[in-house]
Amino acid sequence: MVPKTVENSTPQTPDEISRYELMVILFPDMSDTDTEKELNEIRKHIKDAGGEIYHEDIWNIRDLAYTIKKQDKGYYVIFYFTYDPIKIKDLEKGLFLNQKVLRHLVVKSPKDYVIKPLSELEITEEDRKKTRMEREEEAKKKKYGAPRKTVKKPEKEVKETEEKESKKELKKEVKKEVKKEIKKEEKPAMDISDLDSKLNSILEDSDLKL
Amino acid sequence: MSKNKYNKPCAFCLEKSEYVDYKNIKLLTPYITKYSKIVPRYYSGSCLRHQKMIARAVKRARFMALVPFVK
Repeated sequence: MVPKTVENSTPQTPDEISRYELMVILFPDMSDTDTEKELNEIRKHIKDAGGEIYHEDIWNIRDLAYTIKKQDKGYYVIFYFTYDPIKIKDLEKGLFLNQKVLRHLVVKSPKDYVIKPLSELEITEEDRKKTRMEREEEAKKKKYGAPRKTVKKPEKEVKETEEKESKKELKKEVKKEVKKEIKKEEKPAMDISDLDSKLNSILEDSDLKL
Repeated sequence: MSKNKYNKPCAFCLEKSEYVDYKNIKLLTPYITKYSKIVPRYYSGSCLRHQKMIARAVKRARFMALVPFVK
């Protein structure tokens, strides 16, 4: 595939050895021993090529987002390893030919990559509830935070005309308070009248029934 | 004129992240619509540099069946 002269011309230093991550989806129907065999093959392949697996994540059987080769589920495994960048195609070749591998993906991971467990990556039902609350909070924050430019402008004007602004604000606040009070007063009053009418109607009905 | 529709800052620029992980579904969900399309830049407010990273991450997640292509 690749000429060996290239390999010799670029001697490896620890910085040049690149880190990779390999995600593999295996068939879910296999027994535990078979899956271990398959994983051991991949591990061997990496070690034989001079790579080192420095972390391994097993996500177990997961639902696929869509069917692959008539399978709705898949056995997810992720390897984090160092590997010779020139030989990386050979590793992929073996995975493509392996019939028990549904999908695989080799990605170069950045130097300062922090490995996170599945629980931090996946969305749980609790998170869904939380995210809804957070979204609401964020939306509220955005309402106040978004018009930053409009907020800044009045600040400048305030310096010029502090008294007028303060008076206006006071008036606005007073008006708002008054409006709120009115609303609060109105709502229960309406409710009581409704309740009375309802009660009367019910009483009448009950009389008829009795 | 504002850069995007809602005048949002780029979430990844605030964190100064240099890489968007395709395995982090929790992180990618706000950038996927309910029809599982990639949210355009003028809605999400992300900068061009990070939008490209997001797009790459979403496409990788789709390939590994973490996120659907079509819903």
